[in-house]
Amino acid sequence: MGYAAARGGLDAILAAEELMRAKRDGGASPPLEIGQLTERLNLAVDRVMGEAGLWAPDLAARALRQAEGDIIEAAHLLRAYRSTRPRLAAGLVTHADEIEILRRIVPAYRVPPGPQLLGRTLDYVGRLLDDGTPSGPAHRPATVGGNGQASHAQHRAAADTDGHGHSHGQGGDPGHPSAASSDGQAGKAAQQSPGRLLDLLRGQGMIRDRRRDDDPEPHDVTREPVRPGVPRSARLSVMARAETGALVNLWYRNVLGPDGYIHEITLGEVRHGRLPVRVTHPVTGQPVRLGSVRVTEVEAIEDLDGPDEDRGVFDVGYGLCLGHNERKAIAMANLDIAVERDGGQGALEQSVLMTTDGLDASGFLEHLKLPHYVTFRSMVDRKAAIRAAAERPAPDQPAAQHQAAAVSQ
Amino acid sequence: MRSQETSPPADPPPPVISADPPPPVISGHPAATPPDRPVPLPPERRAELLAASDEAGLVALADRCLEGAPGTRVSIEPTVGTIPFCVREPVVGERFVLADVLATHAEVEHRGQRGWAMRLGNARAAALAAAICDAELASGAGLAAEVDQLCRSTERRHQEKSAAEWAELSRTEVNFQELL
Amino acid sequence: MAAMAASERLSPGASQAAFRVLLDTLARPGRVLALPEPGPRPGPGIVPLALAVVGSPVAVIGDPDWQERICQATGASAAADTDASLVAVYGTADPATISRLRRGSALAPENGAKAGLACRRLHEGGPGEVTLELSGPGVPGTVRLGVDGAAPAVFGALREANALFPAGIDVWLVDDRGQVAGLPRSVRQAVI
Repeated sequence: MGYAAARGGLDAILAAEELMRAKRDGGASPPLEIGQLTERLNLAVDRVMGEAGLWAPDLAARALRQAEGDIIEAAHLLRAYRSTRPRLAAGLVTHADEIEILRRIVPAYRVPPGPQLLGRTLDYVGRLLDDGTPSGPAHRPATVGGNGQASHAQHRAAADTDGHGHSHGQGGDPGHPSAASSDGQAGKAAQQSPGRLLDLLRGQGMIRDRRRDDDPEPHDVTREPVRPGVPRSARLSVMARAETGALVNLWYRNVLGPDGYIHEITLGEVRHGRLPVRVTHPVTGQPVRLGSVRVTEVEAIEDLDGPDEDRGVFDVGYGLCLGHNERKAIAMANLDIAVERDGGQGALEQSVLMTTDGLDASGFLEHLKLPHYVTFRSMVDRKAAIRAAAERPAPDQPAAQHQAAAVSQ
Repeated sequence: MRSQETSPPADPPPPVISADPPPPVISGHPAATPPDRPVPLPPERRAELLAASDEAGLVALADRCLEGAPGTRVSIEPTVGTIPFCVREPVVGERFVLADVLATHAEVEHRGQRGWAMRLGNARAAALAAAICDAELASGAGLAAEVDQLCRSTERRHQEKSAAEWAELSRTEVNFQELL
Repeated sequence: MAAMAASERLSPGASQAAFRVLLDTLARPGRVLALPEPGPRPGPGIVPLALAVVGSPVAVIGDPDWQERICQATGASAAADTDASLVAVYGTADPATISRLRRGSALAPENGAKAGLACRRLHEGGPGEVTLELSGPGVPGTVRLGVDGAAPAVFGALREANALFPAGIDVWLVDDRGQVAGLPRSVRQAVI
């Protein structure tokens, strides 16, 4: 098996690219429009943004279309695009309490401050596949009990008002002007940005207080590499842009697996809503709200029961990610508190920091497809040499010469 | 797992006071009496409303503004870039960078004013148009009144949309009925 | 209303070309290369203009007007000379200024400042009012560089600042014609 240095394949590569494009953009079905993706496959678009670490719904939809539905590939396109863009402004920090909810449940507590608002969710719906038959389950009229009647007309009218925070290219929403004078509006504002169960429990002294006196600059994971020992802000950033499956499975292994972690997690807040994005006006120095970003936020309340822990209190983990992605935010919150409790004893922090990024993992994995001809050839040669040496009765001069000849072939 | 809450809820917690700037309370509107003549929008509110205005209307208006006052110079070409979005989380109270947000920035010199605009997303034409309208409104001349109108109607449209959305969401609020 | 000054912000093409010149001159000390825009503007300010991003700490010494223009064009933050990562020195540089610039450390050499210094004229191969002999990484053997309009003591201060390599300061000399020569911290330089 001789080896000769070779080059080539450019024509084949170009033809393969052309084939890809032809298959993706051709075919009998109509071309995919961006609105179809942002409206009908919005959860996939949200996932792409979350794993790219860039809020840009229309571009994420384009990336998803260009990547033929491959979420990690789409996130890769979006991150590559982001790397070509300059930073425009520092941006003012937004407090998580400013969220305007589209959905908010508190599994731990029946009557938290503010509403239990189911919002747009399938959590309680039976998983009946709409198989397209005219009399199938999806086509029966909607029935609503309890809170009031809902007619189809109302449903459709409501859907037209773009009521669920979709961005159709106009990402701006200017927020509300001066503080409302009417009670109704003030009440609505309190409902839309409800207080937290966390603060309720804190008021009762039930939360381990980890709040800091200082205000360290957040670690920018896009500019400085991440290694164990980085501050928590880096961990949160890494998880926020991690691959959804990686976080879910890491959590699952953590809970079920042999590492011996015992968790008793109850979820506090589970929220889907909008957070305002603000920059400083260059002339007046006052904040300008450019619009908002949709996020999912979770608080994971951990029952502290370790021998070295204060068992009279709870501790809390936090998860926040772009778009509507509850399983990611829940996994993130759980892992946040798990790493905190682990205190660096096990490998959990390393796993979270180093193995959950979708692009890092799949990039390394897929590089295996590149030609490894020389690598493999050298391994074959070594094996031949080992086998040849094993066949010799005892190592002596002629054998050494034979071995050398076999290796140098 | 407890089957029912063992203690009644405490009083609603006091509003969380964060050290960060609160949502902008910037409009000239006095609290109770509607004004006869609208108070001019402060620059930040102008920028917010132009950032949220519908692109088609904005571009059309900006074109007319340009016709009315030649000699406009683009000082910063519409640039698509990122803003690192930093959130202060409630558990420890520390800041972390959630993600980047894509935005477009443009600046013009128009009618002797510095027009500034920043819009979310990849929106070059809209950002440039918003910058022109920003300067027009700041100058008080030409089509300033129309730009002001566009801003007010954007504000109204947003309030209506917001109210409609909340009305729809409110129907999904859970009202428990205690079992006796 | 007074007309606004034109922004100094570099176009993407100009930015790329300037970056290339800065990179090449640092990689080949002694070479004198021309910036894309010939002439006295922006002078040593090309260093922060080409390299600063939003939030970079930048110090402009000897010209407050350029400080403001550079910060407006790049979004950089004005900083003291001891804190800046990017520096532009207009007029004749003072050795004491060089001594104050950030040098970084052995573990974090990237924290050392990058500075543009103004001079009147550069002469590749020398001689000049001040003639430097250069050797080291990127220099074939030894070469000479002539510099008009710079104080010899500045180069002594620079040598001293770079004595604890990898910590140190990287410097570009920028002359009236928009020509650049680079003195990275790795170069061995002496006034002859």
